[in-house]
Amino acid sequence: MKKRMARLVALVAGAALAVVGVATAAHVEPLFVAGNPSCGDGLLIQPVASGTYGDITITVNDTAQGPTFDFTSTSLVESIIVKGGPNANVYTYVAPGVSSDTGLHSPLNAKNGKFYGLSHLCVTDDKKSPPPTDPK
Amino acid sequence: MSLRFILTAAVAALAVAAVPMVAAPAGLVAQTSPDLGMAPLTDVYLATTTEGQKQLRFSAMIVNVGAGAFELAAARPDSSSAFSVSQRIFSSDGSSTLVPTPASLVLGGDGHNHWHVKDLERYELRRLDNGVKVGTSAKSGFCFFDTDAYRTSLPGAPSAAVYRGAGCGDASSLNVNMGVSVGWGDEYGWTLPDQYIDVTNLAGGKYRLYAEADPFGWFTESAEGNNFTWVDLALTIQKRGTTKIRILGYGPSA
Repeated sequence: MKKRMARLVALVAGAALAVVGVATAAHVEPLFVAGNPSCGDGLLIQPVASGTYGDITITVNDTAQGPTFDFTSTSLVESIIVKGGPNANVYTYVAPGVSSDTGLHSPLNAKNGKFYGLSHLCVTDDKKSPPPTDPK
Repeated sequence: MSLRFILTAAVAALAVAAVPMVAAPAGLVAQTSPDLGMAPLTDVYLATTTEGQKQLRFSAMIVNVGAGAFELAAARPDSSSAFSVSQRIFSSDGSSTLVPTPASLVLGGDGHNHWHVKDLERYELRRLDNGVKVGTSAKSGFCFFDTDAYRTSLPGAPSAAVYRGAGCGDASSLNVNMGVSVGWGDEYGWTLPDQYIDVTNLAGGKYRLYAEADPFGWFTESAEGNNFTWVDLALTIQKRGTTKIRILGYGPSA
């Protein structure tokens, strides 16, 4: 009986972790966007250095492929524009967004096979996910 | 003027004000209809997925520049039934009436677990030389509310958002209430899922990206001829297969 209960608890815990995992770290492949997309109402981070900016904390990593960064956030992030070189990568997350991701980077520099340096980031809110406390 | 006359007139005026708009004498109570339109299209970008799909992405905003709020009220008897969608038409005395519409609601579809009004807006890409349609947006459902102040100088425009995202409900909702206030808009940003037109196999040339509010004329509004906007653009296919985009000009907007 105890064994069955323990197995049940483990299954429930595993399922819960899986659900949390989906919400917190659903890595997506970026969209390549030519040029310098507008940040609009988003949170502009420039220069890009490890630290906390509003709700989001980023950690910049120096890798053999070029600079990448990880982030964690106390609010859900719906998209991040990563500008580097002449173009940008855009990471868009399925609603309601994610609270962390790893290994984000700017577009590849075809001349050296590495990611461009991180020029600036823009964290955006798609406005279409109602906040939990929305009164109406 | 006798006191009795004044009292009688006052009672009569109050009675008229309390009667629904349809029964009121003309000129005393006016219908305050919304007027739907599109703000200029912005953030027009060409994006490429890692699989090679080319997406024409853009931000669009439906706006209400009329005299009354644009509000839809949808209801269903149980969670397995379809919604019936009515438009609430307001009058100058504050009363309102519900008018049935052919609109329908769809759940989700863009990752958001809420209800969307199908075909509230339409986005198309057409050849500039002959108007032939070459693409349609993947997005067809819209959960709308006051996301952006657009022209709050309009009479009756609230200074703060009135309609909020929670009005779009969730899977279990039996009543859904969406709207756009006078002078406000509902924006769909270019990074949203489905907010693009697939141009992967499109030849280089000049095109018109066209956006229209209420394309099927389902909703009551004060003017039907100003529901659209567009941006003209040139797509150039380069030697390596990459595509460049250049904006040529903008059409009218609300």
